[in-house]
Amino acid sequence: MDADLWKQVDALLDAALDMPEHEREQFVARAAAGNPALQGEVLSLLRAESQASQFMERSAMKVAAQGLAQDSQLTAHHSLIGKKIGDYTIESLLGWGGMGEVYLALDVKLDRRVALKILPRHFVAEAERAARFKREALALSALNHPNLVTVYEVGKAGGLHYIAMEFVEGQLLRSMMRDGLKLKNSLSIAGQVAEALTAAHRQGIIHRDIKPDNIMVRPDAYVKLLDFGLAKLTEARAPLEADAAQTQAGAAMGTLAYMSPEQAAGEATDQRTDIWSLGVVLYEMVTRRKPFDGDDRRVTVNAILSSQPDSARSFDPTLPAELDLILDKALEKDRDLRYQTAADFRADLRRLLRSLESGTGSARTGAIAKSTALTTSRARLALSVAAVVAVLAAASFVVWRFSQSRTATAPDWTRATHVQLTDQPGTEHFPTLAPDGESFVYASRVKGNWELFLQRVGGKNATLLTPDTPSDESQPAFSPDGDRIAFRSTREPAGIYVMEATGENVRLVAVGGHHPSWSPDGKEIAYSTVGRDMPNVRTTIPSAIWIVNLETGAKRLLTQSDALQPSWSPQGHRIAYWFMPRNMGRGDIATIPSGGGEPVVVTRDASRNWNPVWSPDGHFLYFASDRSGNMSFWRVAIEEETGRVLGEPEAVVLPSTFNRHLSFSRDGLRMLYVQTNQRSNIRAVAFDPKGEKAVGQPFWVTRGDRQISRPELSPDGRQFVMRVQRRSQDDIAIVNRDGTNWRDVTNDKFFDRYPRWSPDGKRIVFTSDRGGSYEIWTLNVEDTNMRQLTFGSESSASLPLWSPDGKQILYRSNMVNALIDVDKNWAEQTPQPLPRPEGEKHFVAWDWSPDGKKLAGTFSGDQLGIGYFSLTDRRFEKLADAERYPMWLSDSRRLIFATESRVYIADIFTKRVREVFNTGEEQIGSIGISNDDRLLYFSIQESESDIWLLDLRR
Amino acid sequence: MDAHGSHELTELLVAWSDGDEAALDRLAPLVHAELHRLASHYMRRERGDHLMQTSALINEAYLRLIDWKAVRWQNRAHFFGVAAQMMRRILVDFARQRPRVGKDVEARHISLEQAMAVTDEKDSDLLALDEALKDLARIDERKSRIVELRFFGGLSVEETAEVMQVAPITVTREWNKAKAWLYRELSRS
Repeated sequence: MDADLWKQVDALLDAALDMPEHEREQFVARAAAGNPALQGEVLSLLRAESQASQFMERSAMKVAAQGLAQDSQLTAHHSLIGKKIGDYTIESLLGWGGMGEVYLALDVKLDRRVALKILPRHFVAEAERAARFKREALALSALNHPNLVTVYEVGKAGGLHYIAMEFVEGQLLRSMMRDGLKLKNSLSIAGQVAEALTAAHRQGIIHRDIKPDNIMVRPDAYVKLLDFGLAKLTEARAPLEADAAQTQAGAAMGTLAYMSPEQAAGEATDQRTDIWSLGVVLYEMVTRRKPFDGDDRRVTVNAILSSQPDSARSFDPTLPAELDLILDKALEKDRDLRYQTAADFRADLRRLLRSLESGTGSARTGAIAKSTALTTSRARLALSVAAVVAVLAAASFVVWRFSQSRTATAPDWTRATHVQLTDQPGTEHFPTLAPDGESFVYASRVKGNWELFLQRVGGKNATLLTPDTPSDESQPAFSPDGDRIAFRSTREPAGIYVMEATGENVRLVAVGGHHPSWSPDGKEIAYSTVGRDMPNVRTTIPSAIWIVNLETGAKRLLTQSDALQPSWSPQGHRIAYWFMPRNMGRGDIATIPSGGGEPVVVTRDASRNWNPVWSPDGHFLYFASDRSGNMSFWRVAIEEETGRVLGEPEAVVLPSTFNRHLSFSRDGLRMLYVQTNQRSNIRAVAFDPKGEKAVGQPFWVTRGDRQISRPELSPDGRQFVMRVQRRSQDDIAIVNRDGTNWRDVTNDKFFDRYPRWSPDGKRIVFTSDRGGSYEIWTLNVEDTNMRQLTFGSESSASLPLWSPDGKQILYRSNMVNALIDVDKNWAEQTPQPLPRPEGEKHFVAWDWSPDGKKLAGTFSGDQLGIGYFSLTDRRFEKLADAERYPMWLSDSRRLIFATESRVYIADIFTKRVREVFNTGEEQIGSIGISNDDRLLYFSIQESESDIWLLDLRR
Repeated sequence: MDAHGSHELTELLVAWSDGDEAALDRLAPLVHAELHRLASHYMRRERGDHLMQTSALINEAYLRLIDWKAVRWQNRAHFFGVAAQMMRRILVDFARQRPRVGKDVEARHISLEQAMAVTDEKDSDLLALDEALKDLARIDERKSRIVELRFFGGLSVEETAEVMQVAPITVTREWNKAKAWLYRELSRS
């Protein structure tokens, strides 16, 4: 075609396309009269245009990808028929689905027909898919139930992964439904599916695609649930890597009309999604209608999410009333109100079937609800077990498993003998009990560094296992056979070492590791890249867990989304660990398959949960948690293979209030742990402000088991005020300068903190949650009469400070220091904010200078240090790096401050800083100085950790 | 394609459009890998007899190989012209190398609807489409470029308008006419 003609064609085509469709042809005929070439061309293009609406609406990329997908399917189907894979000769294609093709094949060895599911060759290259195939296969092979297709073999041959399964001949429920089903048949079929689901759910497997096309009914009326192609191990939401893609895929994959509301909404699903779908199937069987249906996707989804289906009896009044009750409960949109387990669903179906069969079926409304309510879990168990046994004796394996996990007796530690095993001063950490429970190894600090000691249970003499090392050795772990000990060492290179239980033949197994945990076969060790003896908040890089093979030295990464302190489960299936959650919480526990995979969360709450340890029978996960206020041990029933949590955590009741570092003997009857006692007291030393040095020996002002913090001497120098930390409350107490006459100023359930004297010594300002949230309060020392100063603070109001003239109070809220007038009501107050330091810095004021012109405080943010803010020239000045607790001397020119064990004095004019006192080993909590500069005082923290044994053997 | 992959591809395309010939060698394998990934994506979702229908569920974002926003404003038009050309070359080459075994036997083992769906997809033959597009370019360069940008480059109407420096309505008109022309050409063969 020449260019001129084309221009005409193009122009006329444009004009024609602007016309209404039915006028176009006439228009072209008129416009191109006398030019048949033009007319023919435009008319043919117009026709093509009307047909081409779908043409090229897919991008070329999509076209190519779909072509490739199609080729792969066809190639696979045709290349395999007649071929031999392993022991199977492929006969024909049965179908293909989400996870590959299913062929009818002959097992040559056993001469039986099998269904062979094959993962397409090119998929295997995709690690994630291969892993999922394997997971599915393993999950399925763990199932052995007459209503589930039996898995014969999971294998790999000629580069193909396959599952050989029972080949079921029968009729799909879908086609049976077309002919109509009797009520009893419907109930029996639904009951058998529920039975199959009960078994699958118990293994943590959810079907997610229950529909009539996946239910096969054999000629003998036996039901087989097919196609766990969508099955995915049950999991709580993956804590760190929410697998959105998989969730979406799941939501899109199930057949719409059978989807649960949570599936349709694309939310996380659990076993209750299958209960819903089975409810839909049952509804359809008895009414021959789908309860939620629509012409398109949107209408159907809307129906699932919000509409209530007509009752089954509205279609057929002869149906029993109980059936509507059952359907209501299965098709409950709120899954918490739905049948919670397939076993419950099944029990109601069987009960109805029984009453129909015995001829007593009637519209006895309420019978179902009542009997369900009365059914205890134990009774349900008995019924379920009985049914399985009656149906098929060969299912005894299932029964055994079930009763094993349910009736597992949890040790009652309240009946145990409680024995203190170590009583050295200082700290003993990380005990590991030998598998026989007769000896233990622990870390203890000797001459400044940690060493490992071996001690017999009941003995007093400890044997040093790691002599002559200047490095720290800690976190020992006995191998399962008790012959070796893995531990962490800071020697060069720092990491995980293994030695014989005698301390001989030390060898490096992994560089950079902490918290080793043995695999049950003793061949591998899991370890984390970060170590902790307490679940302190960590802001550094996330910890990873690695597994090292002791024979080959090969390492594999298990997870790198924060995970510490691995504990390998006794059957080897899973590894428990704790992690720092991103949003809420201060430590939570999860488990992950030891071969890698998706983690399952065990705890998710605001408390500190850490130090997970499996019970030796694998039925419980023990962990340390401060959920009750104390740091102590809890345990939760868990399914070792799947990590599924089977109940609520329960406390392991211990007499002490701060416990950690758990270890069990192999028989589970002995348990070791570390009990820590923390206390803090006031210590003081005379001070020479001229010579700037301590004079004489330091002495204890208080000496007891209390935990006090931030003592402040009264302006007259006669008594200390301080905060006392108690079990689940903080109180304010006063004690005389010589440690006599202790009295609690407050002692109630509230948290009263940061008490500071008024300049006249008559009042105390403090922060308290006694009004509901943390606000600033004052109290009169004489009659403890309290008054609330601030209200409605955006974040906690804290760290109050009295101005030297006694008229104002400085406090901190929402990262800002603000001034208020002491004697005004809140309604009359206008808090005056102080300026903030420039940049990403914060200034926390600790002490007001006696001359009233300066505030001493600490800088935080991108620069740490102590310094002061000048109220006269509104300027910040930093004096020293990374120190704490600055307090003014009476000259308003010098400051004292402290590190963990040293006290310094700084001159704000000369900037000179010098050390004035050293507490040695003692840890300074906070410091202060008397108004006459003659007494330096500090709170000293002491901690004593000992190893204790709980013994159930006697 | 994840953000990283898309980014890498864009980087390579930019390098190539700036004259780095070696970038092409690294580009094709990336596109191939992405094709395989997409293909398995389709297959994962397919269930038996509705091969094509379910593919509509795929998020179209997966099919956008090029990170439009990552390209500097000054050379966007040039870049996208080049990128679309590039994708055309790679995809057509890929189609040329496709094994043809399935073609002859497909009707026997896939359902009727599916066979219908496949034969009705005139755009599924990228080789033929490429040839027809070459013919179109001889008589109407602008239409062929718009097809290249939209179909091979995956650009929206608005983006194509920006690259071509014409109004979006013009792109729509030209696109519809080009589609009609190509459809007719492919129907004839």
